[in-house]
Amino acid sequence: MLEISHVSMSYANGKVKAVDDLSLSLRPGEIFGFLGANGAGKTTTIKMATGILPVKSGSIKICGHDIASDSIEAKRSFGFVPDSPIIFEKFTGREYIDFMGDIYGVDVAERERVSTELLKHFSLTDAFDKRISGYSHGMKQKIAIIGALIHSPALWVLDEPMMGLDPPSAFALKELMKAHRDAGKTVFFSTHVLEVAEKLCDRVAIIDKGKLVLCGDTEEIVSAKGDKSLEELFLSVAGGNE
Amino acid sequence: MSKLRYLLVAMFRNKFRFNGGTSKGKKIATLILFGFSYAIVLAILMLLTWQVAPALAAQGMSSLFYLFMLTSGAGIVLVFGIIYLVSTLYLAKDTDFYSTLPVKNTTVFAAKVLFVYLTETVLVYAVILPVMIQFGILAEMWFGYYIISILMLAVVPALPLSLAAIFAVPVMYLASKLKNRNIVAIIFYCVLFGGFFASYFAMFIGLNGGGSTDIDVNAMAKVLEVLSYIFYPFTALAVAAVKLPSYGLSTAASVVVNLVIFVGISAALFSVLLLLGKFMYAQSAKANNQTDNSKAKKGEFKASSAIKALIKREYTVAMRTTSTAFQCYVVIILPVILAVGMTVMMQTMLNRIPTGELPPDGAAIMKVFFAVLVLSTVLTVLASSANAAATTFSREGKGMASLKTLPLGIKTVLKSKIAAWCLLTLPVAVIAMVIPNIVFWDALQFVLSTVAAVCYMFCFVAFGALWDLGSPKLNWTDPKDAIKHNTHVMAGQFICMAPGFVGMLTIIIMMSVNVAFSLTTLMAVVWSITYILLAAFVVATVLLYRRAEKNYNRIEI
Repeated sequence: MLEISHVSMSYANGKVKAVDDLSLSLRPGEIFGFLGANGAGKTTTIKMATGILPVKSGSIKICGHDIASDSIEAKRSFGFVPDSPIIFEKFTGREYIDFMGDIYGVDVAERERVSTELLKHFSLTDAFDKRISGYSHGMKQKIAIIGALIHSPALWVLDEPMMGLDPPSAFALKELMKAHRDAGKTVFFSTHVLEVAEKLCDRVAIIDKGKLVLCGDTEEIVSAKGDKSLEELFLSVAGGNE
Repeated sequence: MSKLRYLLVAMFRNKFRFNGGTSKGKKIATLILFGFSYAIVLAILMLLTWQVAPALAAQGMSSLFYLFMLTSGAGIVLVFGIIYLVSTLYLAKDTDFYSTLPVKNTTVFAAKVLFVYLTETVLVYAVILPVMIQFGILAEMWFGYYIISILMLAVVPALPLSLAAIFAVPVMYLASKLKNRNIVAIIFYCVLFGGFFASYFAMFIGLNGGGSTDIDVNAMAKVLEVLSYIFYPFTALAVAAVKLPSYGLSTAASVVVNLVIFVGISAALFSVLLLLGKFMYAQSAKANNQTDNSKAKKGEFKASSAIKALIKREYTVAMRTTSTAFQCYVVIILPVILAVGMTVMMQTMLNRIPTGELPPDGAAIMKVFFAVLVLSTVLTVLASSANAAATTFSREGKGMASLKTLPLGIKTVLKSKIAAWCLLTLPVAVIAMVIPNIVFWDALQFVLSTVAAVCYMFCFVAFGALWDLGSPKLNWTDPKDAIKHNTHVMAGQFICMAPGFVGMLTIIIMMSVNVAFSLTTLMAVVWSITYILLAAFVVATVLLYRRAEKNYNRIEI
């Protein structure tokens, strides 16, 4: 589903290594948590996987399509929700979903079906025909989620998705992620909230200073480390670099 | 008082400092560009002064010329002041920030008004004072002339700024009542700029006495007499500065009385400015703190192709972004306004040339000379009407990240952006070329100029977008920063203006060197150069297009 092979990325003319020889493989039908402290390289990895940053070293494939050489097909296969949803603020919610539908070639009936269901799920129906610039952070996050799911992607990528969401919306999002997995699709998300990752993720990867330090089945790695909580585990392998 | 000073200093720093990370080269290039533009404006005004000052002084009309200088400064303040007032007081994004500070609202408001006033005062001093000093020397003015000029220029912006507030307040009030308030603002700016250019051309035609190539002093006096009634406080200042007796008083008493009239009326107008400014600021704060609880009208989904969706998005975002809508849409009509103005001006000049004194072929050559001058000027301005395309990627800002995650190649994105702006600018290019061609009719020239304008316009749009893609300015929080101080975009626009300048220079040099040549030679030289430059432009655009993919992938957000 998502194959990240030996990917590296440097900033400041190679002086700062944001991602260092990272490899990950995501399977269909799983929720994969990508954990790391601030500045560990999570967002840089996600930006490379979604085509925002160029992949200068290594390769990233989505559903078999290389994000560098076959970017259009690769991008058709995922839906992305960024950490701060800088979506088209001048649009209304409906105009934004219409735009996304046009870009991904989703017919009107399908747009209507998916958006009606998700708007209800997130209690956003009343604001749908208002400008996004007037939305709160959480509402922008929700409309970005609907936009990302309008074409029912095989891979759903989310960068810090719980930020700014109220408890009912966070719950609704977790339910959506589970439904996506249960439909045989993949969810890949980064988070700081370790309790959420522990309860929600089938597998997790911990990244520290750009390097992968731990990756595996959430339950297995927690029990293998003497039934420590994921938080304790995280602090033991990647803590202390704030 | 110290809080007012701190606020004022912060506002100036925030507005005029270079962005952090701006390279030394970019800073120097910006300063050179700024200096060059300033030098051109000053050179035009000083040349005019040089031409008319001795004659006016000899005829005792110095006060009228002084009035002309003051109204020129006021015109600049009026046009730019409205935009400045509205963006600082009504569309300000910092209202919430200032309201959290332990500073009285009146202090913040005073700092904002002072900021606008001081900025406009500096503008007036920079443009008008050198010309006033030059006129004083040429007309051998008394010592007090210089003192009055230096001191009173600081009071001059009160009149145009209060006028600007009077114009802006009802428009902004009306706009706030409408759903699509940007439309009102855009129409207002169109009327403002159209009116400004129309008045300029009307005045210029008036100054030429209906058509001679030199400034007609008597005609100028007639125009200025009209202005003296409209801008009476300035007339009072002009009478005082040149030491004219008035109201049956002695010269000294007249100077004092006229200065009191000018300062008194300006103070009264400044109070009007404060009242209206306060109203605008209060409205802005109210609008910022209002939650939109209105029920939105339910829309419908409408499917279209990806490229149509991108074109629609381009228009919608440009139209709904208040701070950039003006630069994107209003400049598009400038070539038409200029074409009308220049055509009328050049035609009246041409009519006044005594054809009997010209050699055979001379009348036809003069007609081509004036026609090419107008067409080249229009071509130069066409470059600026592609402003929206030239800033299209910079205006995406950090939202470029969202665009990059979509399953779209850069060439599709480019096609949509170029198509969007060509749809608006190509008809304008045709209209702007047809207007002078109807007046200076020549079938061959009509075809050559119209085809050239359409091809150039397409190149300006495509080149602008591709040039911006090479180094887009994405790191901004206020959308207007995508256009302001964007040196890369400015350099691209200057490149686009070059063919028009070359056209103008070619015809002027050919006429100035006074070498005998036929009409055919003249046409052949001018249009060959135009089309050779067009070919060069096409090559440059194609080369940039081939680098588009690389430039797009290189962008890091």
